[in-house]
Amino acid sequence: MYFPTIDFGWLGNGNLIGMMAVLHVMINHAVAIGGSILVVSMEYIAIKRGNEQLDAFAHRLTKYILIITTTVGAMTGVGIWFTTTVIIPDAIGSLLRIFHWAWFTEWLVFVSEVILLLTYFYTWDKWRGAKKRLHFKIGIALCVMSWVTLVIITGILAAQINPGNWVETLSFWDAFLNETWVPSTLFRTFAAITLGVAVLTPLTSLVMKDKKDRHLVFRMFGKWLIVSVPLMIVFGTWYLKSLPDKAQTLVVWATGMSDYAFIIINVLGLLVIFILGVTLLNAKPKFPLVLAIFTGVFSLALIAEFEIVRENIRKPYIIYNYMYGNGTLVEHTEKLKKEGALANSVFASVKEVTEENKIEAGEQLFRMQCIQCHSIDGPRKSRVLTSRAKDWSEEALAGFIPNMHEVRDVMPPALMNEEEIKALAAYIHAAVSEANGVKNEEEQ
Amino acid sequence: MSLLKAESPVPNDLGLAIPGDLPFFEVIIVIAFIVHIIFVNILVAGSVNSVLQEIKGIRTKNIIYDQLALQFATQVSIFKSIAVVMGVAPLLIISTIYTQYFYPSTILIGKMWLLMIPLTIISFLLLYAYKFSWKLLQNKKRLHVSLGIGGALILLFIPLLFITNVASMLQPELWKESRGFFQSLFLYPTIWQRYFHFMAASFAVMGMYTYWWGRRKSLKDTDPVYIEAKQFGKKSAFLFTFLQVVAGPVLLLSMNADVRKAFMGGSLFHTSLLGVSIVLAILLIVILYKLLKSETKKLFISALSILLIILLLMSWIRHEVREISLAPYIDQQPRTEQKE
Ligand code: HEC
Repeated sequence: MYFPTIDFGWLGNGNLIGMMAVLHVMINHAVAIGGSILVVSMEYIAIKRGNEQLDAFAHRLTKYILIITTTVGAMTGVGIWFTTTVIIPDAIGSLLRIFHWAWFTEWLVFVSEVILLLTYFYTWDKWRGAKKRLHFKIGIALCVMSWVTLVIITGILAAQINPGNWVETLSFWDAFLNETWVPSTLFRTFAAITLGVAVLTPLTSLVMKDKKDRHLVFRMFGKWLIVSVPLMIVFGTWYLKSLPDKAQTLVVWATGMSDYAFIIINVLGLLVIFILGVTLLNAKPKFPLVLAIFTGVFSLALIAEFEIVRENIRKPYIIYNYMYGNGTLVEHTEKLKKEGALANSVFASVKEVTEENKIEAGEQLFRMQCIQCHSIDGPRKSRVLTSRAKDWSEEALAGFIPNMHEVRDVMPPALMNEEEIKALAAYIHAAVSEANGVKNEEEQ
Repeated sequence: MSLLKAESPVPNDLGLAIPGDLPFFEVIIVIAFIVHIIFVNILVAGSVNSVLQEIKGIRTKNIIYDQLALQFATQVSIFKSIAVVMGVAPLLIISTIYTQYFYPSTILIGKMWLLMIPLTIISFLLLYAYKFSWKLLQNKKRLHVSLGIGGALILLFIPLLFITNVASMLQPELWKESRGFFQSLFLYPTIWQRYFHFMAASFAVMGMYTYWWGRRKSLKDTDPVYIEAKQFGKKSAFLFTFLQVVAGPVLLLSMNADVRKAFMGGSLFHTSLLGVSIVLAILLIVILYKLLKSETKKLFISALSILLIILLLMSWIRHEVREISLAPYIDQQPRTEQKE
C-alpha cells in the first residue's frame, strides 16, 4: 500500500507467492527433512549390517539431496522472501521487524545445515573405518538442523494467524510462543517424514536393483510411515483446534472443496498412505509401483493443500488483527477513509481523483489494495474479476466495495475515500469489460 | 499533513520499530557482507576461470589445464551454496534497517528481481551438471563446455541485478524516472562502474584463493596442476588488483557530489578511510609483483592480510557511501527506532 506496486497480470500476484511457497515446502519437507532422515536411517542399517552396497546407495541418494536442496530448495526459500517483498512489502517488512532475531537465528541454523550437508556428502568416502561413526553423527546433526529450521519458521507462520496478545504488547515472545506453534511444528515434522517416504519409495523401487537391500530399505520406510501417519493426524487435529474460531470455520472453504469431498479425499488419501506403510513393512518382493506413485503424488498434493489452507484461513488478515491481507493497517482505517489512499501513498502518480484521471486512479487503487488477492483475468477463477465481477455494472461495484468486508468476510475493508471508490469501480468495470469483450470476440 | 509527505520521494517508515540498535546492525552488515562477497567473488570468477581453463586445455591439448578446470568447477559447486546462504544475513539487515529505500528500489525492478530465482536455479544446475559430467562427457567436450558457459554467463549477469538495486536505493530522487530494470541500467550513473569494480575484485580474490590453494597442495604433492594453479593464481591476483587502481577512482567519480566531496577532502574521516585503502592497495600491488618473482611464505601472508584489510575497508566505505547518500532523506523521513 505504501510502496510501489507491481502487476503480474494474468499470472496473478497472489498465485505467484502461493506457487513459490508450495514448491518450497514440498522440497523442504520431502527432500531436505524427510530425505535426510531416511538417508541417515539407511546409513545406520548399512553400518549395523556391514552392507557396503547399501551404504553406496545412501551416498548416491545424498548426492541428489544435495543437488536439489542447494538449488531449487534453497532458491525457492529465498524466492518466497523475494516474491513477498515485491508483492506485499508492508507485510514482510513488518514481519521482519517483529521476528528479526528469529530469522537471524534461522540464518545461523541454515549456515550450519549447509555446512553439515556438504560435509556429510563430501566425506562419505573419506571417513571410513574408525571415522565412519563420526560420519554418521554428522548425518544425525544434519537431520536435527534441518528440523530446527522448520521449528523456527513455523513459529513465525503460526504467529501470523495466531499472534495472541502480541497486538497489544508488541512483544516478540508473545508472538513467537503462540498456541499454534507446537502442534503446527509437530504436524509438519511427521508430514515431512511421510512425504519423504512417499516420494522416495517409487524412486527406490525403480532404481534399487538388489532385492535384499530393497527389502531392508522398505522395512525401514514402513516403520517410519506407520508411526508418522497417525501422529500426523493427531497433531493436525490439535493444530486445527488451536486456531482462532473464525479461521477454524474457514478451513474447508479454503480448500475450494465441498464438505463432503474434503472429508472423503483427505480420509481416503491418508488411509492409502497408511496401507502403503503396512505393505512396506511386509516388504513383498513384488511391490505395487502404482500404489507408491499414487501416494507420492497424493502426499505432495496434501502438503500443498495444507499450505493453501494456511494462507487462506487467516484472511482477511496477513498478521491477525494487525494488518490486512493487502498490507493496509487496521489502525489506519479511519485515516485512509477520510484522507484517501492515493494522497497517503508517495508512489501514487495521481493524488486526487478527477473525471479525467478516474481510470488511472482506479488502476492504482486496485494495485494498492486488491491485487494481492485478485487479478483482472487469470487461471484461478474464484479470484479473477472477469468471472467474479462479470456483468456487474459500475454502480453495482461502487455499491459493493464499501461493504465488501461485510458481504465477504474474508476480504478486508476498502480503505479509501468515496471518490476513490468510484474510481476503483470505474476501473474494474472497464478492465473487466475489456477483458471479457476480447474473450467473447475470440469465441465468436 | 499528507501534502507535506508527498514532497519526499521516500515513503514513511513502517510503524513497528527496528528491533535493535542501529550501530549494532551496521557492524553486522559490514562484516556479514564481506564474508558473503568473498564467496560470491570466488563463485563468479571461479566459474568463468573454470570454463576458460577447460577451453585452454582443449586448444593446447594439455591435460593440466583440464584438470585445473575440474578443480575450479568442484570448488565452485561447494562455494556457491555458502555464497547464497551467507547472503541471507546482509539482505535481512538491509531489509530491516533501510526498508524505506531498499523495498522501493527492489520493487521498481521487481519482475527482473524475481527472475533471479529461476536464473540462479538454472545456473546452479548447469554448474552441477558441468562438474558431475566431467568424465562422462570426456569425448563430447563441446557439449560439456557449453554447460559451463551457460552457468557462467548467468552468473555474470546476476550481479547486475544486485548492483542496480543498491545503486537505485541510494538515489530516491531518480525513482520517478525509473522504468524497470533495463532502463535503470543506464538511468543510475554508478551501475557499470560498480560492475567493473566488482568484477576486477572477483578475479583478484579468486586469484589469491587459487594461489593459496595451489601452494597448500604443492607442499605435499608435486602434481603439475598445483604448480599451474600457483602461477595462474598469482598472475591474476596481480593483474586484477592493478586494474582496481583504475576501477576504484572511476567509481568514486561517478558518485554524487556529497559523496565525492566527503571522500576527497571534505571530511577528514572519510578521506583518511579512502587514503589508507589506496595506500594499502598500492602496497599490495608491490607485494604481488614481488611474489611473481620469488615465492616466500612471508610475501604470501602479507599479501593475504593486506587484501583482507582492504576488503574490510571497502565494505566499510560502501556503508559510509550509503549513509552519506541517504542522510538528507533520513533527516526528512526518520526511521522508526526503539524507544529507550
Ligand atoms: C485478502 C485478500 C483479498 C483482498 C485484499 C481483496 N479481496 Fe476481493 N475477494 C477475496 C476473496 C477470497 C473472495 C472470494 C470470496 C468467496 O468466494 O467467498 C473475494 C471476492 C471478491 C468479489 C466477488 C464478490 C462476490 O460477492 O461474488 C469482488 C467483486 C471483490 N472481491 C472485489 C475486491 C476489491 C475491489 C478489492 C480491493 C478493494 C478486493 N476485492 C480485495 C479476497 C480479497
